[in-house]
Amino acid sequence: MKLFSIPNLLSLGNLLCGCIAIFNVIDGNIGIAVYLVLLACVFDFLDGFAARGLNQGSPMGKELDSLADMVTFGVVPGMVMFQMLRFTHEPDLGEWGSGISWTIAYLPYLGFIIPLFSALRLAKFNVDTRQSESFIGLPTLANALLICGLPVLFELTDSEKYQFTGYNYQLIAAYSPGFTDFLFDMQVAFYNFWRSQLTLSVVAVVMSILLILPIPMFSFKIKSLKWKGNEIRYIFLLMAAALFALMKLAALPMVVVVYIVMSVIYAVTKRNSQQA
Amino acid sequence: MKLFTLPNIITLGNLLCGCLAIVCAFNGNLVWAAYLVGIAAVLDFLDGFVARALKQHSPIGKDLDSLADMVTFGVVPGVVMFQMMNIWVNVHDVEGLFPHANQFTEASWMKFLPYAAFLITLFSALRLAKFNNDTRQSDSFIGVPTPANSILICSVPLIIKQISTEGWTIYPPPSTGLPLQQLGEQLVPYHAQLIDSIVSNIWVLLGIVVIMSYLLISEIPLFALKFKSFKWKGNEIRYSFLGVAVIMIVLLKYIALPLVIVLYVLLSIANNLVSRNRTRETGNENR
Repeated sequence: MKLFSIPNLLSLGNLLCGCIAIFNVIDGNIGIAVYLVLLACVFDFLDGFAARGLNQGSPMGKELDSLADMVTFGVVPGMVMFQMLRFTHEPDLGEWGSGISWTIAYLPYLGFIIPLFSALRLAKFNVDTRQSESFIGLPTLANALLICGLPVLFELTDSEKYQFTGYNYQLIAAYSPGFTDFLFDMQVAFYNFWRSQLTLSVVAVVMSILLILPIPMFSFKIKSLKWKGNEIRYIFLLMAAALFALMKLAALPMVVVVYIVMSVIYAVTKRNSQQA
Repeated sequence: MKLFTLPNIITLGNLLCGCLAIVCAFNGNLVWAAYLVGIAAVLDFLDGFVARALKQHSPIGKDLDSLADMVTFGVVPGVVMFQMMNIWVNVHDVEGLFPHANQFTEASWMKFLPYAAFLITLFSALRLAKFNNDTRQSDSFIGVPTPANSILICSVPLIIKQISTEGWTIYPPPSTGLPLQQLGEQLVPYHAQLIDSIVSNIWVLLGIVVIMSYLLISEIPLFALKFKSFKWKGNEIRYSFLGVAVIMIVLLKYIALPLVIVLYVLLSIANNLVSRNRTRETGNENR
């Protein structure tokens, strides 16, 4: 059994990215952590590729890959969710605002259901032999990209470009002052909705359930590059490219949502066509 | 395939302890991280026990156990080690940011040294991956098991806490009248400082990282504490090890933990030498 083969070293690179990402998340540099997770994705892709290319596929390599995935795509998003929930404050604490409410004190720990369900998914995946061309249940990598993309999206919506404070806002204010109040309320409502602990908790729970639900999701292990048989993959890639071109890294959560929705539609139509 | 069986839920508890320990360690609360690793070690023992008792063995359970171990006994010791090295780096002010904070200003490349702590995590992953595919390991491990490594590393902050709050106490306390005792209270802080400076020195920590990383994937057979029967015969080494370990922990508290792990490795090596000689002798007799 060779320990330090090239695919294994690539898996270890993935794991190291995960460890440093955890440090950066807790340290408050979520921006760096997102890039580390993306780098880890590259390593994750490369190790499978190298193992197939060099014919060095081994049961040990598979196990190591899964252990590295556990840390990078299980623990890191859990930490990101924990931090987001921790630094999200309810906008109005009302009469009880004097003390720290239980949601601020304890709700952040809900973020750790993501590592727990990622572990369940990885354990299930390792045993399940049905998953060759498509995954069953959301892959941990997609979940990690969605969760780690959320802070980037928030940062973008916070930046001036998307705030009603720039040139457009002044223009509207000049013509219809009353309308700006409405816009401002909308903005605050949108902000409060996405930034509320409730929404983030719902995202954590829904993603956790998606991880272990037996929904078939299309994978990117392509056998040929032809259009025929790969329609869904090409359409998805085009949409993802368009989203990234528009919003850069902040498109990550949207791309994952598109992936989930397209997979569900694909699975349903496939089942219908098989029945017909 | 049932996901939420009792052993699996206990394993998830282990994983949760690991996640909490990571947060504690990065927030600087290394003592609580160590306590959580202790709880996780108990849960890790329990899940195997419950699975055997309820006959709920499953491939999923085995995989889940290994994934949880990866976080609790792979990532957490790496993080604890990283933090301890980072504390040393900050105290010694390698970046020269706080000129009045300390006496020494070291080379600034040393601020990257703490990242070497993640070698522990990488080698734990290698060990777990190797272990899962190795069929030789039924009543002995090959290489140091990850929980033992984890206990050794997490005991360092506990030792520092113990000697800084209680001083260097041994039970029974040394009787008065000894020459050393006449030094009085000055003795305690001196020993505390000495042990602290040894244990929290970055080069000592780096040495621990390298040695433990090697031991994790080494081919040394170590006896496992899985009892097939509770008879003395056949379990001599297990009982004597447990006896010595309990005595040491009662006398020395946390200071005993790394000594117990070292004892475990040494006893295993001795055991291998003895059993190898014995098989050689019986081989000669048969011939």
